[in-house]
Amino acid sequence: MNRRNLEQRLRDDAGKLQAACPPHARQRVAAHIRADERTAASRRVAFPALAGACAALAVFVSVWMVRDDIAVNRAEPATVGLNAAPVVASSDRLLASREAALEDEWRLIERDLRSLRDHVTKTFDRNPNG
Amino acid sequence: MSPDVERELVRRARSGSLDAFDGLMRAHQDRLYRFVLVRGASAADAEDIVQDTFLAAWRYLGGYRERWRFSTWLYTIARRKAGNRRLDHDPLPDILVDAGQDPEEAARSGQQSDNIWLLARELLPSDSFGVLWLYYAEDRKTREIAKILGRTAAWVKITLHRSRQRLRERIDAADWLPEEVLSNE
Repeated sequence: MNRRNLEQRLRDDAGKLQAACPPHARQRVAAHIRADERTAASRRVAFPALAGACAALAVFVSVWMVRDDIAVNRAEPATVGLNAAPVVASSDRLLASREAALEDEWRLIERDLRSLRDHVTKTFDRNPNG
Repeated sequence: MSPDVERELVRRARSGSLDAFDGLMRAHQDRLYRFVLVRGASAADAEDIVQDTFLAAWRYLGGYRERWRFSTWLYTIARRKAGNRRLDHDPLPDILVDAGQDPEEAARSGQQSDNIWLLARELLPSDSFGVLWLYYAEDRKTREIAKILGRTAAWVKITLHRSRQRLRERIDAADWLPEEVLSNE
C-alpha cells in the first residue's frame, strides 16, 4: 500500500467512527454555569454588607481609642496604668523637697533679718546720736 | 462553523453570553467526545471529561489566545483533564465502533471490522495513535498537535512518519502472509 492510499483510507475510516455526545452533558454544563453565576451574584450583594460591617467596626474602634486617650489625659493613677504610680510619686517627692527647701530658705532669711534688727537696736542703744 | 462566526461567538461568550457559549459547545461537543473516547476513556468518563473541559473553558475563556483555533484550545484542556491515561493497544470503545453505522449493514459489509483504526489501535502505542488520529481524523496541523499533546513539532512529525510506516508494513505483510504467521509475530 502506498502512502497516498494509506492516508486516504485513514481519512475515510475515521469518518466511520462516530460518536454523538449526549445532549444532557451540554445542559449540565449550562446549569452548572448558571448556578455559579447565581452564587457570584449573591456574593456581589454580600460584599457591600461586608464593607459596611468593616466600616462600623472601624468607627467603633476609633471611638474606643479616643475615649481611652481622654481617660489617659485625666491622669488618674488607676486609669493611666502601671507607669502612672511611680511618675506621680516621684513628682510628689520632688514637690515636697522643693517646699522643704523653700521653708529652709525662709527660715534662714528670718534669722538673718532678726540678727540684723538686733544689731541695729544694739548699736542705737549704745550710741543714739552716733 | 466558519472562523468568523466562531470568533464572534467567543467574543460574546467572553462578555458573559451563555447562549454564545452554548453555540460553541454545540459546535465542538461531538468531536471532543470522540477525541476523549479514542484516548481510551469509557463512555461515562468521556462524558465527564467533556463537561469538565467546557466548564474550564468557560472559566478561563479570558486566557484563550486567538492565534490557535478554539478547538485546539479545547482539545488541550481535554487532554489535560483526561490525565495521562496510557491504554496502549487497548481496543477502541464499542460506542465508537458501533455508532457509525447500522449494525446490520456493518455486519453485512464487514466494513467496521476492517476499519484501519482498529488495526492502528492494536498496533500503535497511545501517543502514536493520538498523533495519527489528530492528523487524519481531526485534520490538525503538526504544530497544533504538538500544542495539544504538549510535545514538540519535530516529535509529532517523527511519530507520524513511524506510525504510518508501521501501519503500511503490517498491511502489506497481511496481504501475502497467512493470518497464523501474523498472529505469532
